[in-house]
Amino acid sequence: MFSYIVRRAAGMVVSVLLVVTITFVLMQLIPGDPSSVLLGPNATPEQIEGLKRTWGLDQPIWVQFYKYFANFFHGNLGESIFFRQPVLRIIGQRAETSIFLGIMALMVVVGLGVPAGVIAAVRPNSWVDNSLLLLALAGASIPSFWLGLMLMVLFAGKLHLLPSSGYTSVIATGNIANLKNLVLPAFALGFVNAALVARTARSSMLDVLRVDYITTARAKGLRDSVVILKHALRNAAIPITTVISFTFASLISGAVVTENVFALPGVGSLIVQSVLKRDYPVIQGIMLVVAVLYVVINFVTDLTYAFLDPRIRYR
Amino acid sequence: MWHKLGLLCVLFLGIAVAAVAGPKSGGVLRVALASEPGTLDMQLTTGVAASIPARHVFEGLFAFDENYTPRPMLLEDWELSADGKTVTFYLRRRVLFHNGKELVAEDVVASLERWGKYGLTSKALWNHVQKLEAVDDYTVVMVLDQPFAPLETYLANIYGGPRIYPKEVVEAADAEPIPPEDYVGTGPYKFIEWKAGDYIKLVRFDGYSARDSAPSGYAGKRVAYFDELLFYFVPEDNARLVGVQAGTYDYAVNIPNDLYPNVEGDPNLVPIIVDHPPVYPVALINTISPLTGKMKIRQAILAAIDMEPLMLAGYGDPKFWKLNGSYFAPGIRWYTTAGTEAYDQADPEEAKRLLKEAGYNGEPLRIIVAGDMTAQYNQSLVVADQLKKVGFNVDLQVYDKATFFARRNNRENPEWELAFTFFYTIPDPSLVLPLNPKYAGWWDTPQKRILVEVLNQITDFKVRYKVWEAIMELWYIEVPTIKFGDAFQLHLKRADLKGYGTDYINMGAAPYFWNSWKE
Repeated sequence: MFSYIVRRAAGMVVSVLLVVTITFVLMQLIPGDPSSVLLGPNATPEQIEGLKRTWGLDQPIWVQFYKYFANFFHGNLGESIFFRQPVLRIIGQRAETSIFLGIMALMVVVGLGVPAGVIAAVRPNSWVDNSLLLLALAGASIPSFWLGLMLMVLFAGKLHLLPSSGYTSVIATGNIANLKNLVLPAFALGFVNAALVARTARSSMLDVLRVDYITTARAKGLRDSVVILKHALRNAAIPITTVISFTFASLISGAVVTENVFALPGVGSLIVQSVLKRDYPVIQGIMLVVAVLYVVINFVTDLTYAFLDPRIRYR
Repeated sequence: MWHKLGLLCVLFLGIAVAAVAGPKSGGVLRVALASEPGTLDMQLTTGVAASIPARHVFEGLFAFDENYTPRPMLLEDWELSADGKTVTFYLRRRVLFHNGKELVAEDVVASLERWGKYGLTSKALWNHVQKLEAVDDYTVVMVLDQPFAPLETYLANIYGGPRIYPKEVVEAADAEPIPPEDYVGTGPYKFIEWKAGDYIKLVRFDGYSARDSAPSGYAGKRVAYFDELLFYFVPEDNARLVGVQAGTYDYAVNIPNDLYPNVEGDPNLVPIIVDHPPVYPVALINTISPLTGKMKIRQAILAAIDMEPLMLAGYGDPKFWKLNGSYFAPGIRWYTTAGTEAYDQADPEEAKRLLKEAGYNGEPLRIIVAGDMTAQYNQSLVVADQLKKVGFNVDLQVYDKATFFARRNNRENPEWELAFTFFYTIPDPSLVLPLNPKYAGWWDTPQKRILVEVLNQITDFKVRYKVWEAIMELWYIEVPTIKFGDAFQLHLKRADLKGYGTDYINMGAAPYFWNSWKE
C-alpha cells in the first residue's frame, strides 16, 4: 500500500507540472495582453507597449517561463497583474464560494440522482422508471445557465423568495443565512449533474440486481429494503462513487457558467475573468489548483474503492 | 360627513409631507455594474465601468456641469495670462485626502506630472507644457508654449484624465496602476475594499469638503447621503435586471434594450433611457492598409452602407436609437450637420462606381469585431452583407475583446480594414479619438493636422466651432471612420432611489450617487 501511494504521488506531481507548463505555453500563444485590457479600448499602441515593458511582458517567452518556474519552485505563484495581490490569496478568497456551492450542488446531485437511479432500477420499464428516465434526459439536456435564469426569474424576480445573485462570505460575516444565495445556483448546477448520476446508478443497480446473491438474499426472506440498500447498493457503489467524485471536482472548479449567471465570486468566474483579462499569473495559479484538486480526488476515489470493496488491494 | 372631512385632511397632510420630504441620510446603495474594471486609477484607463466607482473617490481640478461645461472642483479659482500661455491654479483650502492629509500644491504637481507622462489623454496638452510648479501650498503655475483652448476640458475629463492623488501615492506607483490599498482621493466616498470578482465597497468620507455652489452634473456641491456604496460586478444581463426587480440592487447599468418590455409599467422600477448623451457606434477604417489606405475605397464603403437596418440590428426598437451622422448629438453645443450629406447614402451603384475607379480587384476586406460586444457584432453582420452586395470580398473575423483590441491596436502589423466599436460622448471635439493620429485607424493627413492644431489653439468658441465644422467636412471626404447613428443605453433603478436620474439624467451613461438617497 505504501509503495502504491509513493508511486501515485510521483505521478501526481508529474501530471500537475505538465498542466502548468502546457497552460503557460498556451496563454502565451493566444493574442491579447493584460496591458491593452487594463488601459481600455482607447489606449494608443505606445501606451500599451509602455505598460507591457513596466510589467516585463515584453521579455522573450523563455525568460518569462524561467522566472515563473523559479518562483514556482520557491512556492511563489506570483501576483495578479490587476489586483496586485498574491495569486494564492485571490484564489483563497474565491474558494469559499466554490466549495459551498460545490457541496450544496453535490447534495442536490446525490439527493436526487442516487434515489432516482435506485428506484428506476428496482422497477425497470415501469412508468416510474420511464418517468425518471425522461426527467434524467431533460436534466441532461437543459443548459444549467437557462435553468438558472428561469429559477432566478421565478424565485427572485416574481416570488421574491430567494436572492437573485451575489454571495457574501459566511466565514467573514458569521452569518449562515448567506447560504440562501447559493440555493438557486446549487439547484441549477445540481439538477443537471444529477441526471448523469441517476443514469449511472440505474444501470449499475440493474447489473447488480441480476446477480445470484441478490436472488439468494431474497430467498432467505430478507426485506426488499435490506436487499436493495445493504446488499445491492453497496456493490453498485463503485461506478456511482467514481461519477460523484468527478462531478464534485467539476462542481467546485468548473461551475463557470453558473457562477457567471448568478454573479458568484467563485473560482469558476475567476477563471473566465482572468482569461478575458489575460491575467496570466492568476490563470496559471487556478490551473495548478484545479490540477491538484483533480489528482487528489482521483487518488482518494481509488482508495475509497478498497473501502467499498474489500476484495480490492493496492500494492 | 365630519369623518370624511377628517380622512381628506389626513390624506392631504400625507401628500404634503411626501411632497416636502427631502433627502435622507444613511443606508447602503447597491449598484450592479456589467463588468469588473481593471483598475480605478483613472489616469491609466478610459473604462466607463472604472469611472463609476472612481468618480466617487477621486476628484480633478475641474468637473463637468450638466451642460458639459468645465467648472472648478478642487480649485477656488484660476486665471489665464493675457497671452494665454500662463495658467495659475488657486487650490481650495482645507480639502482633505482620505488619509487625513490636506491637499496641497505639490500633490497637484505630482499628479499632473504623472498624468502628463503616462496618462491616456494627456499628450495633446502636455506637448505644450513647458513648466509646472508649486508657487506655495495652494498655488500651482503651468506655463505653456502656446495657448491651449480646451485646457479646462482636459483637466475635467475623467477617462484617462488627471485625477489628483497624494504625492507619495503618485511617486510609489509611477508608471504602474495604483494598487487598491493606495486608492486615496478627496471625493465624498473613500475606498474600503475591492473583493475580486465580487464588489467594490466605498464608505462616506466624513472629512469631505464640499463646494458651496449648487450641484449641476458632476460639478457643484456633493453630499454623500448613503453610508455605503457597493458596486457589484454582474456580467449576466438578466441577473442585473432580476436583481433590481428583486431588490438585490438599487441601480443597474446596461440592461439590454430588448428587455425593456419586462420592466415597463412596474411601479417599483424606473427604466432610464440614456438618450442624452448617447453612445456612437462606429466602424474604424484602417487608413494605412494597402486596401483602405485608398480614399476611394473608404468612400465606397461609406456609400454602400444603409444605416437604418444597421441600427435596428444593433439596438432594436427605434426608441433606443436615432440616425445622426454628426459626432455630437443634437442638443450638445458642438453638434453640426457639416459634411453629413454623405451620411446614410445607401447607394450601391455609387459604391460600385467608386470601387471601379479605385481599381478594386477582389482583395479581402477584413472586418474585425468582438463577439462579446453584442450590438457591434450584430451590426458587423449587416455591414458585411451590404458590402458583399456591392462587390467587396468580405472576411469577417470575430474575437474576444482582448484579442480584438490587441489586433486593432497593432500598428506594425494591422491585420484588418474595418473594426467595430463605439465612442462615448465627450465634451470637446479635441478629445474625439480619431483626431489623435496614434489612435487605431491612424488617420493622419496634412489638412487634418493643421485643422486640429488650430482647434487646440484658438480660444474663441465661435471660431473653434467653424474649425470643427471644417474637420467634419474633411471627415466625410477622407472617411477615417463611419458613424452609424446615436444609440441609447438602458439603465434601471428602484423607484425609491431618489436624486439621481431625475435632475441629472443627462449624465446617465456614467451615473453618480452623491446627492442621492433612498426613501
